[in-house]
Amino acid sequence: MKAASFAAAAVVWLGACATPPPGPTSAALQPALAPTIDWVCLLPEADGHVGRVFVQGGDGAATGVLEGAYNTARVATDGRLRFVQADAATMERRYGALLRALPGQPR
Amino acid sequence: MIATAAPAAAQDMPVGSFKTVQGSVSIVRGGIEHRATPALAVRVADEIVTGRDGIAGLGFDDQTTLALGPSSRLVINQYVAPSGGAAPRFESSLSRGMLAVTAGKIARSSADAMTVRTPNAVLGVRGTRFIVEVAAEP
Repeated sequence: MKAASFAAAAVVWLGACATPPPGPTSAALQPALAPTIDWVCLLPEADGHVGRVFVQGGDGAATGVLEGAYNTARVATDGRLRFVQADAATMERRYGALLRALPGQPR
Repeated sequence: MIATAAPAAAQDMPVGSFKTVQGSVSIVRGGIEHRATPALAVRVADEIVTGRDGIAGLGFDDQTTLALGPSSRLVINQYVAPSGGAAPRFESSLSRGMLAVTAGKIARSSADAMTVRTPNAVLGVRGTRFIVEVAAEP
């Protein structure tokens, strides 16, 4: 059941990877309170070390910890958490340009 | 604009700066929008806004680095440097878009020293690299 849930969330994640970032010309034009899906993915550091990210749903009722490379959490508007396992290729496809914009990163 | 608990004097101090700017990137300070350029200082309570073609790289005094992706909005809510007398603290809010972070000294100082708020979550960071995305609900 848990694996099926992860797989379903991964399909949503990969589906999102296939589309460009949403939004009009300027982020300032977007409604601030529109429902969102929030994602967080833990990455390994350059030396392979992986830290931790503690995730708390909006109302504080749901919490979880990311502590493995590419552990990913999805947080919906209702504050519920779902966890999926991403991978380096997915992160590169979706966020490669963003990661290369981090100061001090190889171009 | 999201309120900050930092005193006014602290807000006047630069805590970091833009390292790279591509496309449309601006900073909203005191309700006034300024075009972002490399080396422009970043202060507490600043809101960084990128357009659809915008991407920005920022560096902070504690060696934290951020990259803000297209169509994003990020507010620096609170920043207390590790060298100060108070407990180190770095709090920001991403209300839209995507953010990559390589955490610096503040995130290594204690479990709750660095937080990123999103519309649906609070993330507590303990010395690491991570990506956050706030996407419109399908």
